[in-house]
Amino acid sequence: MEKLDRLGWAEGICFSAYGVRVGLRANRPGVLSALGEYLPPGWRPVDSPLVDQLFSIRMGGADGRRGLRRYHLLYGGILQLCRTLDDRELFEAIENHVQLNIAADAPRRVFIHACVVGWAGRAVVIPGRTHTGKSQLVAALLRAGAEYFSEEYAVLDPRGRVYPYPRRLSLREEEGAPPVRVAAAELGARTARRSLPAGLVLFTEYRPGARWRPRVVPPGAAALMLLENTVCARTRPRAALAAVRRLAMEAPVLKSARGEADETALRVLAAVGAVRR
Amino acid sequence: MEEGTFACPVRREEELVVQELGDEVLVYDLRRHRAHALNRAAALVWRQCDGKTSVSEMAAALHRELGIAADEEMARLALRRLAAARLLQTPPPADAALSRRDLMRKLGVGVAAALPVVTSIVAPHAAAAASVVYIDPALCNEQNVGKCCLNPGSTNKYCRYNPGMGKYECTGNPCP
Repeated sequence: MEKLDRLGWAEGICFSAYGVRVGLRANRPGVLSALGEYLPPGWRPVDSPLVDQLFSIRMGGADGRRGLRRYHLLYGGILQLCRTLDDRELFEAIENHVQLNIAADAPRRVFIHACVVGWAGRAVVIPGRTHTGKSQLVAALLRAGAEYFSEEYAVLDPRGRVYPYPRRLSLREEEGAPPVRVAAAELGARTARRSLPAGLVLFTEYRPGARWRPRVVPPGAAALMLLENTVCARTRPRAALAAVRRLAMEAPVLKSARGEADETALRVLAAVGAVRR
Repeated sequence: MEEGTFACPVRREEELVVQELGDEVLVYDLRRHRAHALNRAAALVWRQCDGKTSVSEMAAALHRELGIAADEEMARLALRRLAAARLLQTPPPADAALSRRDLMRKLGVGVAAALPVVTSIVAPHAAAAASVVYIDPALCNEQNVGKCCLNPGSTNKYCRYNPGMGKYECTGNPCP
């Protein structure tokens, strides 16, 4: 760490998000202000000499010598996390690593990898990893009138309430294309500002031509499926278990393959309140 | 091991986190970082593993609570599954239980829904529970850009398009 500290840093910031203090420093002025939309939702600057995690950004670019470019480098502590010539790739790496640290270490929250929307005073939680079509389904739910909570995490408190993590959506216009960042407002949707109790948990995956045939998942199986998507499952198992247990017991849990997103969205919203535990 | 030493099984309690879910039970093994969901029948048997309750008494309890035949084989099947999940202090003798198929033959297909089930997962690491999808390096192509190529024994790297080479390669940044 001393070697990194000796490199010389032009600017730095300490901020807090979900109870986690994060430090960012860069070797060039203006880098941190360019990060803006890549910082976690709800971040606020804090004046603290101590942070829970420190990220260091070494911007590369033209070397001055003909044809040479230096790589951009990102460090988390002393560990090199990213080495790239592409600005966007660097910023996305910063975003992903910062948010993963927050999700793992947030002291009074359990983060489950999931999309979440609000409907009829309840949170609809759709767990699962990326590339399962969740973002398209969330976009369809927003177009149908749901309130945007998150495309990335269901954030649970000890009482089982679900909090927003309203990062901009990443939507792929076609398979294999790089995702485009879209704000919920661009889809005509409101972004949630307060927590809601969970009203439905849905495990689903897009399959062309699939029919909507939801079946109820028993609490034990539901809790395991939720735990598979819980960021702090290993680091804080007691908190993780309590959170998934509560969610599995208090909200109906359904599982079904799905076809096209817009048609599925209407069925999902109809299921909120119609299915009881 | 003599069958007599397994007359009254004892459940494991150390390094376990247990959550009740109605009739079912959720157990996290802190030692092995595995989580287990016990269905109603398995949970019933596990709760009875107190070192004082015999296998025949467990069978009677299954009959009382679930309405199935009071057959010791049902209890032994549950104990074998609990032992496989490392939730008992002492594993049962190897030949102590009929298989699920044999039990259904003996008691009828109708008992299938009542059979004891222990479902297990390996708890994910933080990064694995996040937005990382893993693929075989041979599948690095246009459809799988951004996914993480699994390279056992070496560094995992993201699948990306290399414009210099004109092809898709697992040469992106390191992934978890």
